[in-house]
Amino acid sequence: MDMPPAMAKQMLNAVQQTEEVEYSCDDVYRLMDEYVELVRRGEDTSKLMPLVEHHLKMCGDCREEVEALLRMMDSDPQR
Amino acid sequence: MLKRTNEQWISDLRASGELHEVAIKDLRDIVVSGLPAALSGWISPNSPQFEGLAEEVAQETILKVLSHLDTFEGRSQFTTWVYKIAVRMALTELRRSRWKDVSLESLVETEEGPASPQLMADSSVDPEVQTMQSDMIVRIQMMMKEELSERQMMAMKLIAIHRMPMEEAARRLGSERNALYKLMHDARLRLKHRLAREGLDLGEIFAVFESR
Repeated sequence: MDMPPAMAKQMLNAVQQTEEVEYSCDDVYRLMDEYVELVRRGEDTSKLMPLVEHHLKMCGDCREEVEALLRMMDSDPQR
Repeated sequence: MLKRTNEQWISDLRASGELHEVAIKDLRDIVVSGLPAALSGWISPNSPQFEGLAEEVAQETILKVLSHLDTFEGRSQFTTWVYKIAVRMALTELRRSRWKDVSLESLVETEEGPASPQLMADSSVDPEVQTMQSDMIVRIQMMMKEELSERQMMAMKLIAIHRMPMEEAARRLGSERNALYKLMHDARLRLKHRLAREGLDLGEIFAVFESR
């Protein structure tokens, strides 16, 4: 497998941040609506939902969905 | 549009007749009006594909909301829950569309043949450092080969090297995103444990790659 140093660093960075127990994408999806409301209220999500927060560091797909969800909420005139 | 509480949304969507019809229309409207912001950076609202996508996402979201109404636990606003469903639907479609012309075979073909660690090292750095980086890469590759299954290696190639979204990689591998995340988590853990067994300190490894 071609692995330039930048790629090796990125992969090792992910390995370094790996925890024995992590939430899966389904776990995070179940909590995502609650999570984004905490974010919008300015709550400390790293304390309130540390496993969700950690998953979002590891999973680009879930991170993209949270970002899109926040943009969608910000555009809602009823909020 | 009527501003509803969570309970009113549930009740109106479960009702029959006009109450139900109005609630469905409002649901469609909030999804369609929120999508331009949600999908900014993905697709322009002026794109010819946008309208069709928004309508399709709205329809699919409504169907899913109605069939999963019992699963809404009320831990967020009802509309946040609906947005979550719409965002998942929209991004799934957009990811698939972005990657539709990239075949798994073409990605695998570019990986064929043993890669030379000398070529992989950063050629802008000191030759001695390059050698250290090459040696480290060979060691990491060896660990990956010994610790990871073929499926884990393939998933890592698609996600970490080709930047394929987890969801798309899972679809290509005949799996689901959740299962693929767990497979990748297991791969990362195996590598973490292996590094620990070998007494390799990640800080020292990073220092090798950061040397010039």
